[in-house]
Amino acid sequence: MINSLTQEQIDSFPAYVEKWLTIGLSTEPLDFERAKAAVIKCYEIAELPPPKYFYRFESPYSAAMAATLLKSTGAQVWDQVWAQVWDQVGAQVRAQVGAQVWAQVWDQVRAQVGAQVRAQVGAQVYGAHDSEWLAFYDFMLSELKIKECKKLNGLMELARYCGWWAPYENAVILQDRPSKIKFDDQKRLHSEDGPSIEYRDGFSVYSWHGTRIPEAWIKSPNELTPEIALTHENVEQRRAACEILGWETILNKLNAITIDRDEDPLVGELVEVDIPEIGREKFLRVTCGTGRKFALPVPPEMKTALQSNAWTYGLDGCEYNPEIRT
Amino acid sequence: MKTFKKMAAQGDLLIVKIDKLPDGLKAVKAEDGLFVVAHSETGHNHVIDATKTKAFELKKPDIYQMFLQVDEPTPINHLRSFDTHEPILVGPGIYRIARQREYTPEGYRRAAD
Repeated sequence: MINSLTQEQIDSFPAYVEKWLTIGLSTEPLDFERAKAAVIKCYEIAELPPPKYFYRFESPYSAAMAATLLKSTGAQVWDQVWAQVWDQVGAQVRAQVGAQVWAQVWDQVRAQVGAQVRAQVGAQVYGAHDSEWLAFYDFMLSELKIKECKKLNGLMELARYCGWWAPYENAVILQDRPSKIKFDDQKRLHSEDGPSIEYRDGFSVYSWHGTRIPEAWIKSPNELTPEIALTHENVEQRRAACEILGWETILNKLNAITIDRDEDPLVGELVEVDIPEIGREKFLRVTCGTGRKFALPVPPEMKTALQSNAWTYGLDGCEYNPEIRT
Repeated sequence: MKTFKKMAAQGDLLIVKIDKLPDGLKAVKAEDGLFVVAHSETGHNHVIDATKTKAFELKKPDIYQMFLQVDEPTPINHLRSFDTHEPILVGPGIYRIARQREYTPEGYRRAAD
């Protein structure tokens, strides 16, 4: 029984996070032969006869359609694979120093791979997108030499060589990974000029700072009007639409009430508007050094344009006094 | 070229002269002889010549600020061919570079330039 970790083991956490983030966010094509070998290993561990047929699909979309057909021909055997690895490996490993490794390694990989990429696409057996929990067991196996974790070798290899996969009695669906994954600088799915996730058969996901949005808002921006932005049924997406159009465009459509106007147009004007179903919000409307007008959302407690301008840089009003703005 | 004594803004970044570098910093690596003082999602970075300056960031990741030590007058340039923010000449000294943020119901996030 291992109750604590050495400093050296703790120091190796980031390397596991890095390794499994790279696997989880890989955009390499499926390595069909290696993935096949890994599947056979998984079936062996689950004490199942090896599958006869291997099908390759380029996205979760085409794979999901194929899976519907396969379900009618043979039972899905994931439960058996799972029972072997999770129940046997899981109980023994988690009782050790699981919590500590879990929090450090699993959570960090999950935040990016699981919550972002996987959650946006759908549900099957995740392969590469299982990297969050595989990272945890990789640490348990490699650093703590907990031999039960060897049962996961097949799944770890699958994560490296393919995207999602689905095991059946006689057949296995193997899926390509995305060909492109794009994030903003806070590691949320985001792309202003195309899909944030794209698969090789064209299946795509569009996102705005982590919020999934309709394809048309990015592909045909002219069709996105302030009217659509302000009445779209999903409020989170409505906010994204307002941001795509620019708050200045939105404010022009609404009856914005001036709270404070600074003499200096570069400091700007603090306004308040009532956005349908979002509620009252405050904005700083400014002209930037290049002469463009734009509006930034600011917190409700703001009272002057200068204070709001200072807040956008993390300063108090009295500290904020740029001599030049370009 | 425009210059300043204590504080200047270029697009979504604020340049503030400070007395000394804070603790807990690590050096930033130059990219093609330049320090990127503000990365832009659309590739229109704000940059400074790395041969005349040193750049630092907090060891604890913070996307809202970085620090510059400027040895001789050097401009910060905005790499965009349209709506370009004019270069600002930065005199010798220590500076904090703050990125602009905007309010969201969950807190705040970086304002996109």
